[in-house]
Amino acid sequence: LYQRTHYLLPHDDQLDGRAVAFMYYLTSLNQDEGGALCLYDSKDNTPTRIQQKIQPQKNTFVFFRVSAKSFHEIKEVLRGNRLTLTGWFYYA
Amino acid sequence: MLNRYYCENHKNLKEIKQVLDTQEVVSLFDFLEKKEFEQIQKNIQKLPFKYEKNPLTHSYSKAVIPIGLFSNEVLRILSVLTNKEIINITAMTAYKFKHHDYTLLHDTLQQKSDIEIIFNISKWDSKCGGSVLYIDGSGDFIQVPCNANALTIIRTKGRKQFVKYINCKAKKSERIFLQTILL
Repeated sequence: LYQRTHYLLPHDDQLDGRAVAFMYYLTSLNQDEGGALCLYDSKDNTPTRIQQKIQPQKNTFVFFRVSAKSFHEIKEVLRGNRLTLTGWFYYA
Repeated sequence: MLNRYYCENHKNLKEIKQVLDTQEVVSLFDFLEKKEFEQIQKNIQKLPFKYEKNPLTHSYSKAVIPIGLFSNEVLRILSVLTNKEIINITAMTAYKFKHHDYTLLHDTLQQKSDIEIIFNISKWDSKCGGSVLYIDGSGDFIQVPCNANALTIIRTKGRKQFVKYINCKAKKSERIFLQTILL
């Protein structure tokens, strides 16, 4: 649960055999409420710029492959609540 | 002019030094006299701050401070407290943090200093984020106070510094502080 002022700064999620990261949104937030998942472009395994912003949309499942370039962040929630189920699928 | 409390009484200085030696951090509140501090505030705000960002490490604006910002009296006090002969501070940087700014700890970060000095220029409320923290990996941390005109001396000893993300409660406010390292 992310509430007003909560955020997650850029990182790549790489840890112990994680293959895919997922988020299942239980609430919706519009653009001026913040809370977007931002996916970064990268060069030489360094994030360069935000390539895609995904606003939380209730009953939406988002996932991406975890790799040395899977840089992403959660923008600060400015209003409302951002409630998600989050986790990772691991390599067998 | 330095606050008289810090320079007229040797007993005070001795006690401050003792705090630094035992707790590895000490903050000197109302460090400069009001008039001098306000002049420094004005001078710092006029500096040409330049914004820089690397998503994995930092987002802030910074400016280089001209040599000679602090009087000889201040240098003398710092020398006494740190056991280092400080003739001049040649590498001091002004940092400005606004909404969305931060620094992050990362694997390549190396705190090269023995002692760091932070001098707060702006008044700040820590509910807006922006706290300056030093961590040592054991779970212990040092938090630098955010009062304007407070000078904090930190014995870094392998601690790493980061600045918490500035959140939306800051609105248009900016946290400005000066930082220098003593090797």
